[in-house]
Order: sequence, then structure tokens, then C-alpha cells
Amino acid sequence: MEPVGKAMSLKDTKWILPQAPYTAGPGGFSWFDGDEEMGWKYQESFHILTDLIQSLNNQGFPNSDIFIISFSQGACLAMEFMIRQSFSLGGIIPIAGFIRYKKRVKQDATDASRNTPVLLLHGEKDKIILLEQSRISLKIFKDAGYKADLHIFSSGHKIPLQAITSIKNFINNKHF
Amino acid sequence: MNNNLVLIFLSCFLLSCDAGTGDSECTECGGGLLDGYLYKEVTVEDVAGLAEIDVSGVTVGKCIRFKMDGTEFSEATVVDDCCCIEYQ
Repeated sequence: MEPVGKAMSLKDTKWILPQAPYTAGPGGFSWFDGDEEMGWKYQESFHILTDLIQSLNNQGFPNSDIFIISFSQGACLAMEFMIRQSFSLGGIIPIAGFIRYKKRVKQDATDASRNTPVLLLHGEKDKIILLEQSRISLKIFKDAGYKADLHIFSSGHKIPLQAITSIKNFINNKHF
Repeated sequence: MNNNLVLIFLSCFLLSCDAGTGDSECTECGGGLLDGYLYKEVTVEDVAGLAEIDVSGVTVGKCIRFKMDGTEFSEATVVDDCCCIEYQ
């Protein structure tokens, strides 16, 4: 990810790439474990993020300077995690994700988490997670009182180059 | 270096594309991120920048695997297929 960080030209920025805790196929890892029938487990993933943010706080980083950029399944986790925290972050940028438990957002979202800005990014040609999912997420976040926006790109299920500008503007200026 | 921002990147595992992926889908695969490398099809606008870093075999429409430093190419290699691997 170092060259990706360089491409974003964000100075004095520490990048962290935690590994998902659950195994998923040969050599693969997943942020969620289970299935629709048995239910999804993600507590280990929450623990990893909670411990990581606590560690960063101990190193002197305030939550307002911590951002979560996330893709696909990682984006699903970032949204589920953020709304349930007793604090807000600098922002989250879920790319090509979806909210798994849509009906729970309003009841589970904490007041403190509503100060976390949300920038959703999605490719309109995404056939794996459809753009409609981010449109739904945007409405859910706005209805729940979050400051949120959606930027759409002409790409498939990936992080398009054009997204770098949106990400940089969001992080540097903390606006949409 | 004193860091004053932290970016946590949550990705997920990688999958290889189907070997039968055709060229027709290649334009959709360009411009993604993988392992810190970017993939795209070369456009007219890219040619001058790639010439500056002496990439051989570059023509418009070829697929390159590359890194950028700001808005400039810092490294690039012509590869056979933009669709070989992508984030899943």
C-alpha cells in the first residue's frame, strides 16, 4: 500500500493495514464468518479495530485524525463498526460496500458516532455489490443523522483511480 | 517522520480472475489497486509520462502495471492482461 499512499500524496500519514481474523478459503481471510442461515460473526473484527484505535490513542493520535478507508467486505465492517462506537472518528470511506443489518442502524447507532462523516464511493458498473447498495446506505446514514455523501465512478468492483481525488479532498478538507 | 494522520485500510482477500476473461472486459479492470500496484490501459495522455521513465513497448491500448508518485508515473511495466487479478 505504500505506493498507493504516495499516489495520494498525503504528508505525515501513517497507514495501517490490519489483517482480517477469519479464514476464508486457501490463503484467504475474511472480516465476517458464517452465512445467512447461521448468522454472521464479526466480534473478532470489532476487537481488532477497537484495540487498534485504543493503541493509536495511546500513541497520541486523537480520534479526529483517524480515518478508515475500506473496500468491499472491509467497507461492510467499517460501517457496522463505526455506528456502534461511543466516539466519532475523522471519517470513514466505505468503497463498494453495503450495510448488512440495515434495520438495526437507527436503533444501534450511538449519538457520538453520528459526528463521524461518511464518504461512500462506488462504481456504477459494479456487478458484485451493486451501486444501489451505496445509494441505500447513503439514505440510511442521512436518515440516522450522519453527514454523508456518495461519489459514483464509472468502474466495476474496485478502487478506481479517480477515487483518490475524492479521498484526498475528504481527508484534507474534511468536507465532501 | 512525525505523523499527524492515521489511515486504516480494511480490504479483503484477493481472487484471481477467471483464465477465460476476455479482452472485452479488460477496460473494466483497468485502474484498480492491487498490492500497491495500479493497472490500466495506456491512453494518449499517458504516453509522454511513461516515456520519461523509459518504459519499453508502450503503445496506446496496452495494459500496464504501475505505481505513481503524486501525479507522475514512478514505475511501470507492460503486462499481458489488465484483468489477471483484481480485488474481490
